[in-house]
Amino acid sequence: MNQVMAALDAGWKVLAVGLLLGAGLPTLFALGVRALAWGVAGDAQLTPEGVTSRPHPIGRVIAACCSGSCCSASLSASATSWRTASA
Amino acid sequence: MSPEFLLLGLVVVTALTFDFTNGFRDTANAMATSIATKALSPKAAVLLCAALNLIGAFLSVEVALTVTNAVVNIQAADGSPRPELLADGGYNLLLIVLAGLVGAIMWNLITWLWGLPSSSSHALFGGLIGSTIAGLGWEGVKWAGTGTKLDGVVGKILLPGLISPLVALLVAMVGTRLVFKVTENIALRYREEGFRWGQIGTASLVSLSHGTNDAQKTMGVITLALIGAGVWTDTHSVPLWVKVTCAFAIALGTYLGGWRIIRTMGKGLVEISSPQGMAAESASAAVILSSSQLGFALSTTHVATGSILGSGLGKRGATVRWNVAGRMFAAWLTTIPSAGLVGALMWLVGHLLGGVAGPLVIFAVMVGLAAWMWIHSRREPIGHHNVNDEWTPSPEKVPVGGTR
Repeated sequence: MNQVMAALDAGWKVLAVGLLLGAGLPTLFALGVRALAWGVAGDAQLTPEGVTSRPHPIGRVIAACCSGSCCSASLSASATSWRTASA
Repeated sequence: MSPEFLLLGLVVVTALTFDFTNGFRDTANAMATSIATKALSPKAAVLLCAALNLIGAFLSVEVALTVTNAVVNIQAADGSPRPELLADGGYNLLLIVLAGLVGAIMWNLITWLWGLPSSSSHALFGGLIGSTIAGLGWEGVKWAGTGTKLDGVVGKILLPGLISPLVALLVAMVGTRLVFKVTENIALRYREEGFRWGQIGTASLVSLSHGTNDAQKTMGVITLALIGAGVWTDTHSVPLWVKVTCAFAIALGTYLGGWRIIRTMGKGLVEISSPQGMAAESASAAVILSSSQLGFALSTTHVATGSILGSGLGKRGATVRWNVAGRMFAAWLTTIPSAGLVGALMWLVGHLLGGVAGPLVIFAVMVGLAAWMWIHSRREPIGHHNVNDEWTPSPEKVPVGGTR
């Protein structure tokens, strides 16, 4: 029984970190993708063949910020994990 | 040549073979989704995954030296083999390890032939449990930990095996739902292309942590055998040549790619789009990395498949093929008993024949069965050319091999 409690204890911690980083970071990334598509016609709107609509420049900046912070967050999280694991 | 020396040589070769099958089967964990959504071409995906596994293998040897301690009592707490097993120049210990490894490899190959993702670590532990029971009796196995420290078969294998795929499934489901919510109504090409980059990044993280987690298990087994045979004495480090050969064995296996399993995970379980792929891989990466930090032992394969199923559940209208998932769950449940049974049989054969003949016969049986399975797999080959073909739902035809 102690083993079950210990496993559940570890399990909810993994779930908490997982939700924060594993679901949170893709959501942040999704905001970046959305920003990149800012000012571009969606699928529903018809754009004439050959005319490519360009995304809004501020959208690009936001997108770069979002993907950049995703990158650095995941790298630092894994670095922390490896450092503590090998300590 | 003394029997012990020959046996040691066979253990090293067999352990490296296991490491190779480990990489080979687990390419899918990191790369199946990226291959399925065409974020990476199949060849580029296996190359990237192999390179990152190679690097990952050098990052840590923390659990390597006490690898078997979780489930069997053949090592003392400091990682040295138990003294009573060292009579006869370590012959008894080496035979247990060899038989266990053969059990693990056989199960790894048969599930590959069936195209079923199942855990290589569970196969390794299952094989060792079986050969230990045969060699030392029931007391040789550490069934459950004492108190609240997770240990033994229950604490290190069964409970994490139940909990970790569920956690990964939940995380991936929430992630997928949020991602689709945020990117609702945007141009499809932005969505697909944008997330492909995210997929490559997260899949790389999974590859790297796979190299770190799995290569060191084989390093630990080889080092244990070397100590048992009296060739190596340091219980705090792994010989450099062991590190290098293990790293290359797992990377080579990864590069060749278990295409059958990649196909099942990328196309069979869920029809996957790149936002789902990214959500699944980041869920896997987060769960694997946070678990290893908390000392929660888990199987990369269980987590990766849990995440992929979660990404299917999180997207409205996505197909999840529960019959394929059901076959896979059945393989998960049978991994430890099956690998254990083969491990125990192999130990009996080796023990009855004894001397030089015992280990040689076990090794020959392994080579023969592996060759048979390989020939069987050539009847309906799956490779980088057809890994992404439409999934045909008839179980007689796909996955290949097992039914004929």
